[in-house]
Amino acid sequence: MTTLTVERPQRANGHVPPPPPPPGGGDGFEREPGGRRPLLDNVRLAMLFLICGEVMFFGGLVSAFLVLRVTAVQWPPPLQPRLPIGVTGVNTLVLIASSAAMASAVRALDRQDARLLVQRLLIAGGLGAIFLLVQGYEWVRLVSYGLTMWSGAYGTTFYTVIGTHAAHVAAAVIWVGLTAWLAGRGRFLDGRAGPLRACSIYWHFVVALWPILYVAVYLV
Amino acid sequence: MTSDARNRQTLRVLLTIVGVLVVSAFLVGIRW
Repeated sequence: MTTLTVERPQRANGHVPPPPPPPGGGDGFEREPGGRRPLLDNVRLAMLFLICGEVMFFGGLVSAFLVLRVTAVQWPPPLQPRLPIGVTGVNTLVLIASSAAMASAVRALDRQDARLLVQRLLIAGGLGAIFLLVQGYEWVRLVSYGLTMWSGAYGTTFYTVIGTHAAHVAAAVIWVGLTAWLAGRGRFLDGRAGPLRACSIYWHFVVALWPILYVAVYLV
Repeated sequence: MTSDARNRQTLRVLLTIVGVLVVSAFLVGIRW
């Protein structure tokens, strides 16, 4: 009786060597030259999940606002203060500038420049904090003029839509502050920059959302 | 299947769900 045996390469210690890596040609990491990240890694996918939820949430808020606004006899209602369009327009530019600072921070990360990374993160967070302070000041003035949450659909929708966005900006400022603190301690430069990139994506989303809300609530 | 391809497939499912919900909301809005 003969047995069929397959000759396999043996090492001195008896273990079979691992198979060679795939030569590439797929859509994965092996296709990317120079070890670049794939186009849609786990961090980006997770942030897209979050952003899709946020887009639908704000879509609902803006839809409710527009329905109330279209069905109102007069908008703004009589004896209600007008919204500060000019100051908020300048504040919009401040927020957009913070997005540019965040993009610069990510470029500093790609260049492995830790000092510039921390600096640009702090600038982005600082501009976001300025945006919040100006908006808070405007809110105090509006309340003093009689526009409150309880002064009808005008005040309720305004504070709900703009306040929800302000809460998102506040969360993003805290997140950027923590990220800058971690970056100052030397994190993210070892290639594990997922939290920083997630923070950057969220920041850009919050900034991109604001001009839409500004046009819908202040200008339309 | 690589991680990237799997993520793209997941993203397609997510966008499909979002699209269905948006179209549904639009149709309900028209009815309203």
